[in-house]
Amino acid sequence: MSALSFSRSKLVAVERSSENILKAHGVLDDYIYGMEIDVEVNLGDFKIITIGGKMNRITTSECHRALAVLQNAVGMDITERDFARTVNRIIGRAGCLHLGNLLVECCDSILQAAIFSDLEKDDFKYVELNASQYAIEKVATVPGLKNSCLAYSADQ
Amino acid sequence: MLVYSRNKLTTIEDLKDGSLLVKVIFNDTWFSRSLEMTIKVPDMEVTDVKGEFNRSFYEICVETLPVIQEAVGIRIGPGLIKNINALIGNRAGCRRMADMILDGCDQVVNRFTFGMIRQMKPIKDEERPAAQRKFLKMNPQLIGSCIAYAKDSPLVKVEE
Repeated sequence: MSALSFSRSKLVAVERSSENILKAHGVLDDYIYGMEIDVEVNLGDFKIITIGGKMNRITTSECHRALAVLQNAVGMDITERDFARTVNRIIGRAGCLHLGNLLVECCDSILQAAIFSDLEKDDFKYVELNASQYAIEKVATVPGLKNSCLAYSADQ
Repeated sequence: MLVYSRNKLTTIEDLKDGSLLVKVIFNDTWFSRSLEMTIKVPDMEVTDVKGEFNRSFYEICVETLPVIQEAVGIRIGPGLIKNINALIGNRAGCRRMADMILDGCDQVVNRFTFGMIRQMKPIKDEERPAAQRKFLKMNPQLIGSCIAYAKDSPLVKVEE
């Protein structure tokens, strides 16, 4: 029998703060670190409008300083092609890699929630939809989605 | 009321032959996927990968599964993100599966860091600067990797 030598779980919950704002609460817990992020994104321009974090378990006396660095994310467009790489640089390396990782997870979750928000209004009755047609419509309205994967490929 | 939820769990198991078994399970409102990878140690090379779509809003997603085999032979090291995104997270592949592979590789690195951090835990405060010096000497890649190990951080100045 083998035992786990490491484990990381990330949980993100997205709710609607107002008609045009989605808010994500993300929690990261692994054998080393424990942290949380709250981030709000305006769906009009997909930019981060507020962000805050909490470090529950860290490894050095300096880690907590990374929380202030999170504010550098305000104004970032989550649909930018290099969003994850930019977060890794200005939040991760300049602050905390793990907070940066959780922020990318939260913003990706907000983007997924936005992509499928039409179905939310329809009580999630997605089984009655033509998924291929839905993808075509979303590619036309969500920046950065076109050709990002097979489902959103222009060839489909 | 929630409009979306996501749960991502990555686990690492040490196998008898010294290699690592990485399992990533992803569940969100619209998709459910799982991934298993074997990493050869000390080469840090992906030797085997298997993926599965358990639930998918788009039926076509399952057709991307063969693409994840591109990860076999790749090593966890410089260029990993670029390679995985180019080979798997592309227009013919699946960005989410690419993310899961990268998350798995990230936790392999953390698994090795965890062992060293655990060894430092019982060290007394007065002995900590020397232990920190030794830790950074063993992990020079950490210098400049975050605010705690920035070149002007008190933790790194101990090293100089």
